[in-house]
Amino acid sequence: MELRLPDGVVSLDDLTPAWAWGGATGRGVRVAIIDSGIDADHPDLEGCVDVDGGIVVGLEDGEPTVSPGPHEDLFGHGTACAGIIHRLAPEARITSVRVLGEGLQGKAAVFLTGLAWAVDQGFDVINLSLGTTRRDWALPFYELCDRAYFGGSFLVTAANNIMRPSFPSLYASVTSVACNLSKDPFHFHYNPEPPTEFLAPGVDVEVSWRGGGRQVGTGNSYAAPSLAGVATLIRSKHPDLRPFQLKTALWATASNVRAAATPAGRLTGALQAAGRATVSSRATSALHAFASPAHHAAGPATPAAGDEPGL
Amino acid sequence: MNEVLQSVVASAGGVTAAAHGWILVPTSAGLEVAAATDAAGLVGQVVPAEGSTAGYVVASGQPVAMVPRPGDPAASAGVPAVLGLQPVSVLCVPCVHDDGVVAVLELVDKAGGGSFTFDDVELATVLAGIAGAAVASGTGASPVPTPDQLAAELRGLADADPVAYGAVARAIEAILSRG
Repeated sequence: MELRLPDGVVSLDDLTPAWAWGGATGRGVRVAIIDSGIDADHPDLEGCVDVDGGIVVGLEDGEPTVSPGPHEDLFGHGTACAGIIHRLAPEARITSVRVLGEGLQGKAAVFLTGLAWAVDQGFDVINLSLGTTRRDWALPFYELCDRAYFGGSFLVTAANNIMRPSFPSLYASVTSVACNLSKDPFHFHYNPEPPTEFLAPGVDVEVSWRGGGRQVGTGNSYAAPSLAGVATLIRSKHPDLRPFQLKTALWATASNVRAAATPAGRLTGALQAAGRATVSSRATSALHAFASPAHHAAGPATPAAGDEPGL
Repeated sequence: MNEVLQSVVASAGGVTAAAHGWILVPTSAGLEVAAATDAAGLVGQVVPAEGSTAGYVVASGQPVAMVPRPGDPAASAGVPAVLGLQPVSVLCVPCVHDDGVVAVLELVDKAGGGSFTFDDVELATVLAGIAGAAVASGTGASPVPTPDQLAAELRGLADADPVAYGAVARAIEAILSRG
């Protein structure tokens, strides 16, 4: 097999926003949203939802069941995530994987089954604004996320807002996202203190909601689909990128990395120069003691003065 | 009445400037009110989880902070329906203990009509952690330390082990100093 760099890329300096997503619309990309369902008739979504292709995962006698076909959003959160992605990547096809059942009772087994279905279907981008704190499910999620990674699916998860380990947001095979204070979805930040690797708009975001309306919401739940939308654009323009290459493109195009004194293409010192000077996480500094350093959540970061706006 | 939970919901309402608040514990029948700022007649009532903000937070484990559109049935479902409220702003965070969501802390109608901030989410989350431990341990009826006692105890711990307790002590003192 011939090994070569993506078209137009000679060095990391070439991973610019224009290269990454300039002119992209999301066409050809299949996105799965694992959440409360999607209100496919919402006018904001403009028919982007693959209504027949979605599934509802439930529980019968303690065993997960999968029911394909149209379904509604039981709360509104999945519709919100879909709306954020559609605004960024209007030609992407979005599929709902509902893992919150009647009465909104979610179970880790249901969540895992829904994610496994999406991975097996080979979705290009999978958005998870959910997580489980159940440690006994950590290994199955770990294995599944690795399967997604090696299979080429790009998993975007919301970092846990609370100071506890949450799965699968802690894994290197996923891209974990918390809030920044920007209103521009292309103004996302790289966080050099993992497991939360990126920060995207998630504060006072106007989101689509079930029933056809909109409301304003705050939380990492909305930061994840914002970055997933950008990833969808990149995937649309560069369908052959592997997940680690896609994550690298996101890193190189993050506002704080692009604004760093050391260009992205020169690796020496680039990480420290890019990240630590511009990303501050009040949550991690004030509340660090509530969790081990490796498992902290990240609150909103304030973009540093001098950050470049996105495209 | 669970005194720890009552203290938590009162503190959460104070630091976030919420007009109303309550803690709901999932049961086989729905969500039971375990404590509330408007406690009279509300504690012990059971509301349905389905279609409500609290139900979503129990199921997803994710906090929700939102300004619902007028008439949104999810925002007014549950306790707001009992109280006849149509909240202008809602903040609901999980009370986690060990590996699970054992309750939720829900606050509505921030003073001044604005939305709850990310700082409010973090403050509520800290207090919800205390509520989670109280719900799980069933020690809510034990004597409740005063804020001064709590701060003094934390200062002592921080002096003994600043790495483990310093940040917690500072965070709790900051919360207490905000009244």
